[in-house]
Amino acid sequence: MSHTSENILEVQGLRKWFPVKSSQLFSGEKKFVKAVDGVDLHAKYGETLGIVGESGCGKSTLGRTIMKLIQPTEGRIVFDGQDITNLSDKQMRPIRRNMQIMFQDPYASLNPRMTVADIIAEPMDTMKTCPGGSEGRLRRIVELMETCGINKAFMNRYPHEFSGGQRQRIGIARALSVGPKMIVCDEPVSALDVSIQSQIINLLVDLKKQYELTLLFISHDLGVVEYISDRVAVMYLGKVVELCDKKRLFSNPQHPYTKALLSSIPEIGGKKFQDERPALEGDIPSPVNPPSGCTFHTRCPMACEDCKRIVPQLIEKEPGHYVSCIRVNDGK
Amino acid sequence: MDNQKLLDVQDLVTQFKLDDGILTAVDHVSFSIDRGETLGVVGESGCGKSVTAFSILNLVAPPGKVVSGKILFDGENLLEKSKHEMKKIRGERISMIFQEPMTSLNPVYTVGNQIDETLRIHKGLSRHEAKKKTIELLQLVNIPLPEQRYREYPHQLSGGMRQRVMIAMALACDPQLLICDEPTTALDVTVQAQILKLINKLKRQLGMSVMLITHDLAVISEVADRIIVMYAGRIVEEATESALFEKPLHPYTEALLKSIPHVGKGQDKLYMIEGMVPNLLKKHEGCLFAPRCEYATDLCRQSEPELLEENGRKVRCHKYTSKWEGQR
Repeated sequence: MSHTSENILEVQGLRKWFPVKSSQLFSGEKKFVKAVDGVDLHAKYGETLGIVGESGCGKSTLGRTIMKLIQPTEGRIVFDGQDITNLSDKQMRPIRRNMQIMFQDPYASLNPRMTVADIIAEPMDTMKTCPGGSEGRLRRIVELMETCGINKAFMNRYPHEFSGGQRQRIGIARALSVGPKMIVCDEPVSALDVSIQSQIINLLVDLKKQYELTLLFISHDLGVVEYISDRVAVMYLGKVVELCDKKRLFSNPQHPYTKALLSSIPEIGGKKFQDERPALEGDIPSPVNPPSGCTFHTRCPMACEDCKRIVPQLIEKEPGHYVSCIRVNDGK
Repeated sequence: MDNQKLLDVQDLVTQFKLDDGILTAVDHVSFSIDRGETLGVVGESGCGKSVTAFSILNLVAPPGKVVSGKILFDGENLLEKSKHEMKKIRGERISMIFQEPMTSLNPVYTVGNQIDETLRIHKGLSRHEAKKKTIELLQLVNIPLPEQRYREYPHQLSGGMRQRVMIAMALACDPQLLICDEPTTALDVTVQAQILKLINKLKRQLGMSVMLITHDLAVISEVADRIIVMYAGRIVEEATESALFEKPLHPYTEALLKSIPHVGKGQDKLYMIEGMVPNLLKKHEGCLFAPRCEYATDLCRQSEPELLEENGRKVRCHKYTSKWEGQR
């Protein structure tokens, strides 16, 4: 992967293994959920990097590990030129001025006992970033509410008085309050109705332009990811299997998993599901006991004997197009 | 009685008596499903699509109540049936699968046991016969190793497998109508594709009618023959699948289609439907979609449009009436 100063974020060999309690009391062997298992990626300043995958592929854990909300097991995270992998919570605090996160569930991610104004101001209160005392704070809150399309008259209301879309706007305002360079958006529109979803996506796109933000956009919805992203990383069982700009990914996918994923999307007027053969058999295997070799070989239509043994590496097949599949390299 | 129609819902009204007023969740809804046809019902959360399904099965729980209307199933009005008769119809002739395969299976019984039960109660099969039939059903819905799965508990299965078990259970008594309420919403795309293919296959093989409820326009386009679009408890548009997506007539349908990002389309800016779904507890005047509609005129804000019918399509909008002339 390229390591230049144009990258706001560089992630190398990142692993997050969660220990699981063994069901057998004396079975000595320790087991782990390999939620993130060796991820390499980078994000350039001002770009939107989409991270897409099915549930359990580790995309949310990846987002939280990058934010250092979870301590990684192994690997390196470089943010804005600084290695943040082993920083303590206290040392992370000034850095979080530049990296913020917004969550999927607009109902669970806002404190029900705080007013909207206090929620929005919380990051700047704890980081003491807002000049001008209480007056300056109030001015900033009003400014943020207006930018995010929340009626400023509702400043002293509580989260339960707002709809899902409005709450997501509050979450965005909170993330913006400290003027971050990067925002990790963890499934920000998955819980919303279609008509509200487009409002939030458009707001994110506008804010990104206005504040020159870098977005890490995590979602399972390929349509949304294609719309918003510049580049897209596809994850499967804790690993990135394909990474490139969105145009190439959607027009010329290389990894068999990406191909299967794209052919599984229902389309208006598509009538894709008339035949009986599914694009992909079976379900995602358990991340506690992932298959040997390439983790996708159990479901892959192209799998061969070698796939069961060899762990494929993420290789730059064409400039900027990374694929992790030994069969794709074969064909070259 | 038109024999082609399996289900004929006429002027259905379902209300919920709440502390702060009466909420009309389903407001004078009429539609029909032909034999062997798949009807899609699409709308956002709170538009009344699930309550419509529950009303058909007489499963609306208090404070909700079906207030008026007729639900003719094979010529008989389901609203006049006794509790006992309804129970028989629900198991044998109309089945329903739900969104949450996790919560709709009983965690303390094995998968086999739960399907067996339906067969023994409704078909009077012996234990042995029921087991044989259950394993056949598990095979029908493409569950690998059915004999082993028969003995397993729901928590041992993945989400997609559970939904297959739900479908097997729903099919146990060869129903004439299968109601699917958001059957794939909780599933991943690759698993969703498997389930949608399964529903398509079963429909062809068994010749039953399907009512598919979802918020996802793409899913409905893949499966349905005819589609109803609901908004705030009312039907706003009805058309065949191809006609609806080729030329949506109602501004709401049109706006919905424009606001979804489609894979491979490369749109510049997504269309936004301003505002929110109206609060049905409040009194309304005029068209319920008017506050969010880009075509809305004074006429729309003052009087509620009727559901117009032309060439087999239905639409509830003033734009298609003679009154519209001169409004703009």
